Amino acid sequence: MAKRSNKPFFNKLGTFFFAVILIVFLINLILPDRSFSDKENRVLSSFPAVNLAQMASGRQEPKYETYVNDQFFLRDFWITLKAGADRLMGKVENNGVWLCKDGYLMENFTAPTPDRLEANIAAIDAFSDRHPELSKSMIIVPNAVNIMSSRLPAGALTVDQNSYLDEVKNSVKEHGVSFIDLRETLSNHSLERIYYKTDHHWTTLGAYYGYLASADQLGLDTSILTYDQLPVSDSFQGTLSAKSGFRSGEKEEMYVFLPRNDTAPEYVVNYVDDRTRVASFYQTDRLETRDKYAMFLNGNHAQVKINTPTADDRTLLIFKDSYANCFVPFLGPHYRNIILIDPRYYYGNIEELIAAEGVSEILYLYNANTFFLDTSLELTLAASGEESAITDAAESTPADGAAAADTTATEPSTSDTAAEGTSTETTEGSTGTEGTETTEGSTESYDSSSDDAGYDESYDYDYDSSYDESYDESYDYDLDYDYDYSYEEDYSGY
Amino acid sequence: MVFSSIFFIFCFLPIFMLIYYLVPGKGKDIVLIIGSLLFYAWGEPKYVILLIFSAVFNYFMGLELNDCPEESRRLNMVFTVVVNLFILGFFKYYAFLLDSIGSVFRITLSHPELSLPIGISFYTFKNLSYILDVYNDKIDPEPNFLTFCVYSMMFPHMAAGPIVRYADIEHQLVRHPVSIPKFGVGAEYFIKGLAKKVILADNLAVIYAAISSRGSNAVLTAWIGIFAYTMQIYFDFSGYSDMAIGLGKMLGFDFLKNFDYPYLSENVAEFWRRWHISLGSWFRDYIYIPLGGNRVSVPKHIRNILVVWALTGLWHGASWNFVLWGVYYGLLLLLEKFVLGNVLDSLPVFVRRIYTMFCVMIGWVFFSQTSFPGIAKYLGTMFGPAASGFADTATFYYFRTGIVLFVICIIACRPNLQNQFRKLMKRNMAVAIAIDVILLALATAFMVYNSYSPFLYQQF
Repeated sequence: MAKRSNKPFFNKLGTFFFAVILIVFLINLILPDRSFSDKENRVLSSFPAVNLAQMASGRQEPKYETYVNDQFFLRDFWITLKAGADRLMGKVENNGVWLCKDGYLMENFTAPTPDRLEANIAAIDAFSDRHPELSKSMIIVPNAVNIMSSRLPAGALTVDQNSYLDEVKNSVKEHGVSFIDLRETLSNHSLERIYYKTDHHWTTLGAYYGYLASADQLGLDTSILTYDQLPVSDSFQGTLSAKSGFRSGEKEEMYVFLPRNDTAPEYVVNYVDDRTRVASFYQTDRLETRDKYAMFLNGNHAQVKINTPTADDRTLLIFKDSYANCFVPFLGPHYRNIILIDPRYYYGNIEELIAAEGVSEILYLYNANTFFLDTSLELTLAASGEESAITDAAESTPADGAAAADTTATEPSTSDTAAEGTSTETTEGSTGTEGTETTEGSTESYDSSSDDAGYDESYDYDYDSSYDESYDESYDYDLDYDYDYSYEEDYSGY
Repeated sequence: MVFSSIFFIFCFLPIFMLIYYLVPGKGKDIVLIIGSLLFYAWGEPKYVILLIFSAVFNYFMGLELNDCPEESRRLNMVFTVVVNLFILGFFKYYAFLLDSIGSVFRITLSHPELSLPIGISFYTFKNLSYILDVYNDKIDPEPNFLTFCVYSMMFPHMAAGPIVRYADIEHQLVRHPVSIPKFGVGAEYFIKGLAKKVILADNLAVIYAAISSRGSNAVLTAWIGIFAYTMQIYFDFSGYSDMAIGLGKMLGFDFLKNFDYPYLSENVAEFWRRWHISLGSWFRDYIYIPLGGNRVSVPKHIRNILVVWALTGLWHGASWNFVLWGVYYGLLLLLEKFVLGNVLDSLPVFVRRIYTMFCVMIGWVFFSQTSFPGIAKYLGTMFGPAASGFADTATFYYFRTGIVLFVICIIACRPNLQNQFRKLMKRNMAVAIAIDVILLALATAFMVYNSYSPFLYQQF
């Protein structure tokens, strides 16, 4: 028998390999660039301008590599493939997201450095001492990884949030802040759907329990309203499935809680940063996008004012992250004015705001993952002359914008693992480069969250349809769902 | 640029290869040199000047060594070696030297923070081997500057080896024909190397990084960690060498193999004949043997071994832990040579392999932990005193999530798998091609996902 040769194999393989690299290159060249990845929920990088000076310094080249990666054909398919391979190999954690039981994905908790924790607490305490006249409360919502730890994969190694929560609790209490601890309440309801399965946020149900549990300490009479639960989407795909690649095809339901019509007050929600007023907490057109959680208060804004014609003359200032967005609607009926400040995007002077608005109460409302890694609350609370310097630094000239965003964006990336992706977006949002240059920071191609995208998008939104000076009395929930079942019925099965 | 990146494989490589194959004859060499300079300059353009200087300097000194009168040859050789080592020393060891002197005399010597030029250790050693071979009349100096540049700067082995000798590719430099089957052989090497790097090594890296960054570990967890590192560094580095060899084949060159299943070695001496072969043989031929090798008195022989291994360690990085790692191997080799030799030979093969792997894994602790307290702590955990227990939930977790990968690695570091694949190439070509397609697709998926992961050996 003639000895078989391996030459045909190498012939074929050689042709194949050469053809593949060439064809893939051409496909990437020909295919139009995508500006936004729905799956990853972030802006993809666009072709970097040729800049010989930057090339010579070696700073431009990584941008091309990021660009090629971001715009690689079938990008979403490759990411799904990778996640599938991971699961085959027995991986239960990806990009800081745990693959948990009962279909849950949970974001890992990243412990703050001692310095970070100390700085945050010190800033809050200093602010408290400066404002003894204000009534101050704090809600740090524990995350799913804490409350639902029994669903974590066997042996999953997580950092316990509780010691950090206790440390904050004990410290701020001494300075007159009433710490509203939701851990027990949420734990009691941990078998219910209080967190999204594919997203890092709590659900409206979770927020509702949080609202009920904080009523006493906030001095709210919860009996004034009755709520009905209403499904608004059955195709929500959260950030955690995007971030990890796990369960990336999974869709879940999303609910809002609406007051019965006879009990509902009228709200005016004023998005200060883009001068928009609407009569609803909910931006239903956001349900058509990937980032459906942004339907709550239209995503994250630097400053939002909510006016409600209540008898009670209370003005509440909330320092918040995105967990507040589905919680605040419950507070609406209880305050005449609510001002939401998201320190990640806010650069105003907080002391002036407090004086001008006649703020009587303060609430810190964060989730633990974001709170412990946050670097912006400290700056906002400092509120002396410091923050103007920060604004100046951030608002560098447009010509330097890209470079400034680039250099500043690299620094916080080490502490940037939280879902909220804190300071990277802050810098970018303030350089005036959003829309075109927002991807500068994302050298790690796959490390973004819903919030920055939500922020970017908020500028592009066309409010003409929803913005109407003489909005009518009725809500514009033009949804095809039936209103008819109440909350108790629906959740009996959980 | 690194080989295991989307940018390299799907942008640089197709354009470069297309031009390289289209340009006829000697024009290919010019394409190769320009491509190599671009490859090197990408992301760090300033140090390309060093690369060019090294090539130009050694080219002319090679000619000079041949032409100069006999009495000044030695001086010329010493001068060339010193200049080469000075450049390497300045960029790689300057800070280390000042810091070490400073800590001995308890003073702070300030120095600029220089980033290490990519591949400087590799191309310096490559050029030194050329100069020393010319000096020893083993080869004639290369008269053609372009040809020498191809040897000195070609991108496949420029950044992270293997340390190709001029003598080994002298004839290929003159004539390196390309063909589709040869390109296919190159693709085979490249795909396997890429898979080793991005599918195995990068995932193993995550496990070791997670374990070694934990405050305290149980005994078994530490062993899982160092096992993962042991596999990681092998698949990372041998994967890189495979990619380099594969790219060489695509360009028409045949480089010698750099790894020969080192984890099957039956003693430490054999391990070093199978691990990073081009480096081991470099130190053997240019330091150990010139020092007298083993043909000297026993004390001198011991000195030679320790000197060579301390330098081998130092070559891997400007840090004392690498020196310690090298000296550790020097001592092990002495032990085998003078004490254990006969004992080992009488043991069954599997015991000898376990002994070798035990020594190698301990060695990787010195290699992976850059500080002495870190080494002490990790070894302390592996052997009990610093451990938090024998096993705990973390042990279970890392075992459970790593076991599939570990089993694949154990299979893949033995030759059996590759032999089977070789048979498959002939018997069932379609299946063999399909396997390569799947590996390339998987590797692509991992690269798209990771975007960027630098090589462990890139900075050496």
